[in-house]
Amino acid sequence: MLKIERISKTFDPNSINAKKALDDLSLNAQDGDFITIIGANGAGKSTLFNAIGGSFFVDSGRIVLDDQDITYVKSNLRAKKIGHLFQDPLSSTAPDMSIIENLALAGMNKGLFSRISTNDRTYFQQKLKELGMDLEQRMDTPVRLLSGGQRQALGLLMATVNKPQLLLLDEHTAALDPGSAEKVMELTSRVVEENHITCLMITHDMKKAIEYGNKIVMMDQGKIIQTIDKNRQKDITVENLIRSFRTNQGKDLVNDRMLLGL
Amino acid sequence: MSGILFTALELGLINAICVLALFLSYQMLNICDLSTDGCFTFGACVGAVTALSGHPYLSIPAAMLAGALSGITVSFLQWKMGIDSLLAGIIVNTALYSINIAVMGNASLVNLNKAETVFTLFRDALRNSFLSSYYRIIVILLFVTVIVLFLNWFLKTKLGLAIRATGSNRIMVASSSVDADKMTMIALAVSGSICALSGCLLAQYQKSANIDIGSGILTIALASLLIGRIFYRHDSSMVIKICASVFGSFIFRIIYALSLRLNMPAFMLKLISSLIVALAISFPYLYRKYQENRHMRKEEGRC
Repeated sequence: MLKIERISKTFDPNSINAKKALDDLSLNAQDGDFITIIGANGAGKSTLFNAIGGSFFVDSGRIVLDDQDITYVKSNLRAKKIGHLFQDPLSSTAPDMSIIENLALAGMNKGLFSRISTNDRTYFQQKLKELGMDLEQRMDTPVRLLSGGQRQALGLLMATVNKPQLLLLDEHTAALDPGSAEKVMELTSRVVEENHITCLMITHDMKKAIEYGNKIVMMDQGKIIQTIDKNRQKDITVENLIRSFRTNQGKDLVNDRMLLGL
Repeated sequence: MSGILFTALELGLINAICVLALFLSYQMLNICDLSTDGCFTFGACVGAVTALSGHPYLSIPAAMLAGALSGITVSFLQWKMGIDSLLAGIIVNTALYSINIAVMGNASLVNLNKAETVFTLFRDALRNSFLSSYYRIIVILLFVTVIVLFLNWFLKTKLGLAIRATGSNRIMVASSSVDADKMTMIALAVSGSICALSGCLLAQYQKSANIDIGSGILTIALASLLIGRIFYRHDSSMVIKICASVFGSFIFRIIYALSLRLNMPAFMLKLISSLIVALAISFPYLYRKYQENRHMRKEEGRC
C-alpha cells in the first residue's frame, strides 16, 4: 500500500542551522492499517507527513503509494490519493465559502465549468447528515461561522469524500475542546473503517495511540525507533511504551503534555 | 442636476466594470493587482487603436485579450520567477507605460472624434427610436449586465470555487488537489481582461485615449469596492455581493459629482478616493484599537 524506503531530508543544508529532520527512515503500511505515530516534539513526525503529502521532495529514498512511485510527484497531484488533516481547524477549510461550496470543491468530480446540481446537494446533504453535527441544515452558511469541532469534522469529510487511499491525520483533535475532540475522533474512526482507508495518525495522546492504532510507531530524531504490532503484542500499556522508549533511547519520551493526554 | 446624475451614472457604470475586475482579484483571490492602472490604459489604447483602424466591434475582444495578457504576465512573474505579488504588479504597470505609448504609435494620445466606436454604432442603430438619447447608458448597461452575469456564473463553477478557495485559505489549498499558481493565473487573466474592457469603454465613451486615462483607477475602484462592501454580509449570496460592488461604484461617483457642485476642484478626485480607501481599509483596525483603549480605561478606573 504505502512503502517508504530510506528517505532522508535535511533542511537548510550547508548552514549552521542545518537540521536533519528525516534520517534514513523506512515505513510500510498495509492495506487497511491504522498506524499511530508518537514521539517527542521535533522528532520529525509532521515532517514525515509533509514528505508523504509532497510539501517538499526528499533528498534521498523512495515513496511508493499503491505501486506508483510518487517520490517526485507534485503535492496537488498526490492530493487526489492522499487526504491530509492538520491540528489547526482553520487550515482545512476555506472560511469565506459556504459548507456546500467547500464540500463541492473537495468532492465534486466533474468538469471545471460544472456547478453544484440538485443531485450534488442531496448527496452532500446526506454526507453531512452522517456526521451528526446538524451541519446539513446550514449548508449555505460560511464556514467562518462554525466552531472548531464543526470545521474539523467538515475538514475530515472533505479529506475523505473522494475515498483517498491514504489519510494523514496530524494531531487533528489536539486543538479542540475535549468534547469535540472525542466526537471528531469517533467520526474519524467510523469514516476510516467504513471506507476502508489506510490511515496514519500523529497523536500526543498515548492512550488514543494504543486504542485506535493496529500498529504503533515511535519516532525520535527523524528515525523510527520502534514499531509495535498490536496483533502480536496484546498487553500494551502507556507505562510499557514509556519504559521501552527509555531503554531504547536512554531518555524520556514523555513530556507533561503527553502524560496529560493533550 | 439630473444631467450630472446621469453622467455620474454612466461614468460610475464604466468604472463599475473595473470594480468587478477588482472584485475578482482583490475580494475573491485576495491579491491586490497593482498593474490595474496600466492594464486599464492598455485596454483603452488597444481598443482605441483598433476602433480607429475601422474595427469597432473587434476593439472589445482585442482590448480584453490585451488585458488578459497583462494579467498572465503578472502571475508569470509571481509563479515562475518568484517575485512578490505586489512587486510583480508594479513591474508590469511600469512596463505597460512604454507599451501603451508604443501601441498608440509613439504618441500619448489617440483621438476618436471621427472614428466609429461601439457607442456610435449604437447611436446610429437607435437613431429613430425613442431610446435615441439613451444610447450611451444602454451600451454601458449591456456590458455591466453581461459581466455581472458572467461573474455570478463563473464564481460558482468548480473552477470559480477553486479560485475562491485559493484566495480564502492558501494553507488549505496547498495540501489539496487545487493548483494555486494556475488558479492565480486564470483569475488574474480574467480580471485583467475585465479591467481592460472597462478602459476600452471609457476611451470610446470620451472619444479619446491617453496615457493617463488609467492613472489612479486602482484606488478609485478600490474605494468603490469598499463602499459596496457596506451593503452585504458574509452570508449574502454571490449575486448580491457583485451587485453591491456595482452600486458602490455608483455611490462613489455621486459623492464625487456632489463635491464638484460644492466647488471642489476636479483634481481633488484622487485625494478623496485615497482618503476613502485608507479609511475603509483601516476601519477594522482603528475600531479594534478603540475598543482596546476603552477597555483599558475602564480597567484602570477600577484600580
